[in-house]
Formats: sequence, C-alpha cells, structure tokens
Amino acid sequence: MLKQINIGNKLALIMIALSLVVIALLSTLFYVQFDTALQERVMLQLSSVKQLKIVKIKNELTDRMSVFRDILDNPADALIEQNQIFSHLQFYDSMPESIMGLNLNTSSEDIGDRVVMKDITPENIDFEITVALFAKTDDKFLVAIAEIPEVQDILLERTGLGQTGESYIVGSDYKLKTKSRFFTQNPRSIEVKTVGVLRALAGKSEEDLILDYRGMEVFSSYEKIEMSDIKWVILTEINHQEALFPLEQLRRNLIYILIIILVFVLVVSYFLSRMIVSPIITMEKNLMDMSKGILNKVIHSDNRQDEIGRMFRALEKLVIALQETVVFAGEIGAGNFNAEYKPLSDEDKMGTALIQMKEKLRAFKENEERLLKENQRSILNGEEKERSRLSKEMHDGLGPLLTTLRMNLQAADLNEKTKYAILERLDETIGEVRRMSNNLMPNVLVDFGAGEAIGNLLKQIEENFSIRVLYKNDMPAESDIDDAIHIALYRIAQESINNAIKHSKATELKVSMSEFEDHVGFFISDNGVGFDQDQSTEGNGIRNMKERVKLANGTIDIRSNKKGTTIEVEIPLS
Amino acid sequence: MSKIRVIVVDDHQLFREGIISLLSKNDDLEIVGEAASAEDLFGLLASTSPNIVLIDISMPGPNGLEVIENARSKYPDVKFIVLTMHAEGQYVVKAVRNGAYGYLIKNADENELISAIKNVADGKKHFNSEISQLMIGNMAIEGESHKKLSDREMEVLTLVSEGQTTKEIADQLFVSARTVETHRVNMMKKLKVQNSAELIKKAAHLKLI
Repeated sequence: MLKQINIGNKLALIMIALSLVVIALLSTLFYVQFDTALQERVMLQLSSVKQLKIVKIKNELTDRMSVFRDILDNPADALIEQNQIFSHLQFYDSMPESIMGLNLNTSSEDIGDRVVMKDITPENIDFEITVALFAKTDDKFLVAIAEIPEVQDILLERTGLGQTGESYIVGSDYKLKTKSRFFTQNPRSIEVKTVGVLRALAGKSEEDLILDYRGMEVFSSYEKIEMSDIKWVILTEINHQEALFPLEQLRRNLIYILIIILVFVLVVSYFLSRMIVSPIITMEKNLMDMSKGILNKVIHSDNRQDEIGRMFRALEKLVIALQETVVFAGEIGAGNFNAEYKPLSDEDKMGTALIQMKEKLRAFKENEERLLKENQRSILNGEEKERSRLSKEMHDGLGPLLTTLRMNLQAADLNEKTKYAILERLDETIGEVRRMSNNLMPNVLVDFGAGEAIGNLLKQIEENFSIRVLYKNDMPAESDIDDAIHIALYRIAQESINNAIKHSKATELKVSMSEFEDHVGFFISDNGVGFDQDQSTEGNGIRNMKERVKLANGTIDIRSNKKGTTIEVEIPLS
Repeated sequence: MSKIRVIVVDDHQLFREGIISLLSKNDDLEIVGEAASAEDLFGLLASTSPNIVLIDISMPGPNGLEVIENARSKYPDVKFIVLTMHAEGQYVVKAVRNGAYGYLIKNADENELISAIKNVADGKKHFNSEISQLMIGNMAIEGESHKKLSDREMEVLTLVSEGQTTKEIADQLFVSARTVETHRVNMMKKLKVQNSAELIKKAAHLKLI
C-alpha cells in the first residue's frame, strides 16, 4: 500500500510523523518534569504551612504550660490568671476524678514530680481543643483546664491551602481532634486512620500522596506533635486534583499547542514536499515523454547544485544525446552514411550499435552499388560485345561474300549494260553492309581507339549535315587505354553529337579529345539553342551518357543556355 | 619478261578462289600460293619468293597490317598490297606506314586490281584517288613530333605566351578550361618549372616559341 502513495505524500507523512513524535516526546518530558516540580512545590508548601502551624500550636501549648508553671511558683497569681487563660484552676488535695464534668482519667501516679499536660478534648462537648494541666506541690495537686480555641483558629488559617486545603489534628486514638472542613458532624466521630497518621505516629515527618479520611487522593504533610502527655498528629493536606490543577491546564495548553503545531506541520510539510517533489514530477513527466519517444527540451534552473540539479543536467544531456542519436539514425535512414556520431562513452551500446549499423549499411550499400555497377557494366559490355560480334560478322563475313559475288559477276558473261547495273546495285549493298557494320561498332574504334573513331564520325556528320565541325584529337596513336573506356567515350560522343545535330540547331560544333596521364577528357560545345536542364526530361541521350560516365567512374558536366551547350566528360585511367 | 609471282592471303576461301580465278586469267600473273592466315603466309614466303602479296587486314591471329610490318625487314623484296573491306583513312595510313605498296578496297574493279599489281611490281606505289583522299585526311593528325612537348601543348604554350587567359585558350582550342590547365601543369612538369612566367622563359630559351 505504501508503494502506491506518491512521494509528495510520503514525504509529508514522514514529516508529520517525525514532528508528532518529537512533540509528543517533548510534551511528555515537559509534562513529567512539570508534574514532578509541581508535586515538589506542593509538598514544600504543605510542609512549610504545617511547620508554621506546628510552631504556632506549640507556642499556644507552651504558653499555657509556662503560665501554669508561673502559677505553680507563685500561687498568689493564680486568681488573676484564672479566667484569662484557664477555664478552671484549682488546688486539690487529692486528684479529682473529674472537673466540671470533664473526666480527667489521671491518677497521682501518672503525674509524679512532673508538670503534666494532657489532652482532654474528647471530654469537651463543644469540640474545643481542651487540655488539662497537672502538677503536685507538697500535698496538693494543682489542676488547670484550658480550652485552646486558638488551635482551631490556627488550623483554619487557610493561607496557602487553596480551595480544598485543610489542616487538622488527629489524636493517637485516630480520632479527629479538630473540625473537618468538609464534614460538619462531631469530629470525634470521625476516625482518621490514614497512612499519614500511621506514619506520623511512627515518628515520620514527611509528605506524600495518600488517601485522606474522606477517601480522597490528597497531598499530605504530616508530623507528630508531642508535648508532655499530648500526642497529636497534624496533617496539612490539599486535594490532589486542585494541587495539580496547573498541570491540567498545562496539559490542555499542550494539546492546543500540539494541534496548532500539527496544523502548521501539515501545511508546511504539504508545501515543502511539493517544493521537493515538483522537480521530481517534472522529471517524471520528462521521462514519461521520453518513454513515448517525445524528446522535449529539459527545462530547469541552472543554478541548482544538489542531486536534483545534477539529475536534471544528466537528463538534459541524455535528451540532447538522444536527439543527436535520432538525427544520426535519421541520416542513416536517409542514406547519408557520412553522418558523424560520437558515442557518449565507451559503454554507449546504442551509439556503438548505430555506428556499426551505419558501417554495415554503408558496406551493404556500397556492395549493392558495386554489384549494380558491375551488373550494368556487364550488361553494357555484353551489348557492346554483341554489337562488335554482329559488326564483325557483317564486315568480315557478309562483306567478303558480297565482294566475291561481285568478282564472279564481273567475270560473268553478261550483257555489259546489265552487268554494270547489277554491279552498281551490289556496290550499294556492300556500302550498306559496311555502313551498318560501322553503325554497330566501327572497326576503327576497335583498332585505332575512340579518338580516331570520333574523328570519323564527325567527318560523316560534316559531310551529311550543314554544320561546321572542329575536332581536335589529342589521343596518341598508340594508346593502351582499356577498350571499355574507348567504347564508353565513343558512345558518349555519339550521344552528345546526336543531341547537337537533332535538337540544338547549331551551326558549329567543337569537339576535342585529350588524353593525360591519369584521365581522358572529352569536350563538346555547340552554338545552338541549348536546353533547359531542369525541365529537360533527360531523354535517353543524356541519361545514357550519365550512366556511361558513372559506370566508368568518371565525371560529367553539362552546361546549357540559349547560346549553346557544353558537355565535359572526364574518365579516370587506372 | 617473267611473270609476276603473286600470293593471295585471305581467311575467306571463297574470296581467295574468286581472286585467284580472276587473276589467273591474266598471263602476266602467276599465282604461286594462297594462305588463310599469317602463319601460313610466312611458310610460303620462304619457299615461293613472291613479288606481290595481296593481303587482307582482318584475319584470325596477327592482322594483315602487322604481317606487313613484320615481313618488311625479313623479305624486303616482297611487296604488299592491302586488299580489304576497311575503307577508313586510319587503316590506309597505318598500312602505308607499315610498308604497304598499295591499298585497295575489296569491291575494286578487276582492271584496277590488275593495274595495281602491275604498278607495284614495277616498283611504284598504287593508291587511287579515293584512297589518297582517305590517307591525306588522316595524315594531318599524324604529324611527326619528336619535340619535348606535344602539338597540343605547343599550341597552348603559344597562346599562353601571347598572354591569353585560360578561358580564351579553351575557347580557341575548343577544349575545357580544365584541360587547358592540365596541359599547362603538364608542360611545367616536363620543363621542370614552377609557374607560367618561368614556363615561357624556359620555352623561349629552348626556342620552342
């Protein structure tokens, strides 16, 4: 499935996933750290509030204690102080069971020589913190009872405790000594046997997250308060929920931030991936085009130096190279085997193959041309041979027969007049045979070469047509030029002379034959009307001439205008 | 006066027979042999010592003209008369140059044939007016030249020395401009010079112009 997602979306997905992971990690870390720090701070706060309260409570208790001691030392002051601090102060001879309805539960043995302070709060129906103080003087016992509402005040002092924070005191009987902030019922009926109380009673002074008497999760700071016979535990607590409210807030904020970042990352990754992917899409399009054989110019910015830039330059090179290859292949297709092509590298298989193909085709074409030439040559040679054979037959076979006949006729016993008439006919016949033989293949051409044969031909022309002929023959008498070349030159001359006579309306014909070391030149020029080379249907004459020249590997140059026609032919010797 | 001893050489037996029967009628002539090829002839020449050989040009093996040339030094007394179908000047000229005493076309009259044989036997040469015309027509281009330069080159040289351009020379000699250039280059090669000015100087020095 992943394979079907395009690169842009993949990139975006990766970016989003990465940023999500990073944000989640950071958030978690931050959250945990904040949580820890917050808890520490809450505990510290609770601890200091508790300490403050302990100090205050102890002060209150110590105050009572010191006043009690003063009275003990100066019993005279006792009456003054009585109503201010103590609700009851009196010397007793024996330890009373109860005072003012309050059970003291204390025996003289319990007191000994000490000044004893004892918690009698459970005896007080008003729920006020109440302590009893005892001391033995001589034979008497000084007993004082003091309600200490200040303790409740101190505990209710809620500075630093927020909405749910409370401080309370629990006795060693696990009963709540002070008012609960949450329950209005008699605190004494509420049992507080929480972990905090147990630990504090065990002597520990610490802070922890525990369940309070309500079953609520609270941060609690607890410590034992011990003074004389009083054994209390003070707990300062705050609801976990409230204490960690900032954490809640933080979490919400973090989620908002997360969402904002997510949206941001989404947008940015979309554009970023598009930016990264767009050249790849362009390239994909280019490659698709290339796969369809469309070779468009690769458009890209030259200044890109990264992999994509290099990729584009490589693609551009590839396109140019392919275009060259296409041009090259086209040239080969069009038969231009001189087309040049440089392989892209030593491993350019296609280029090498094309060059090989070119060479093969060139060889093939050359071979074909050679074969064609040979073929045409052999056809022409055969034709010429046949003409030569026929010409010889007539000249050397028929000719002598006719001349023999003539001799016989001359010797015959005939009427002179008849004899001469027949002889004349016979001479005409002999002349005709000679002419025919000559037309087929002049003997002179075979025995004396093209220069002489063309000369003879021109002589006949001059005799039979009203045209002035100028002929220069620079062919040596003894020439070792191949017969085929002589024949070719003679035929070319025949054609060109024929054309001049038939079509040019010329009055003068200049012809020359020149032999050089490496070539033979034939030149013919008339002062006729010329012909249009472009429009000329190239009647057999000119085409035959060209064909002959080509087969002899020579060159032909035909120039014609209204003042005449000039043809130059050069046949190489070798 | 002894008879003129004649050999007839022709590869056509019928023609030989015709000629022989024609000549045998004449008392002044004696046919001492006949041959169908050059090979046969050379055998006869040694054994029959003829005065006159009537010979055709076209034959299998060496042709008549070659035979004349070969026999000339070996049998200086034997006189050859060409009797042929070839009525082109080139053959006549070559026959004459090779040492033939006469040249006849095969459809010549009996009388002319006889008189030609007799003339030649007398040490004269026999070329009738028609043959003479052919000969003269072709002699013109057979100018003997032992000079360093060919005739055509001499022409070109003369025109060059007159200060004519290649194009003008080509027009006058009705050859192509390229041909004129080739002639010029060939002359410079032959006279071992580098340019046209030097060519004219050297030619003047050699008294070619």
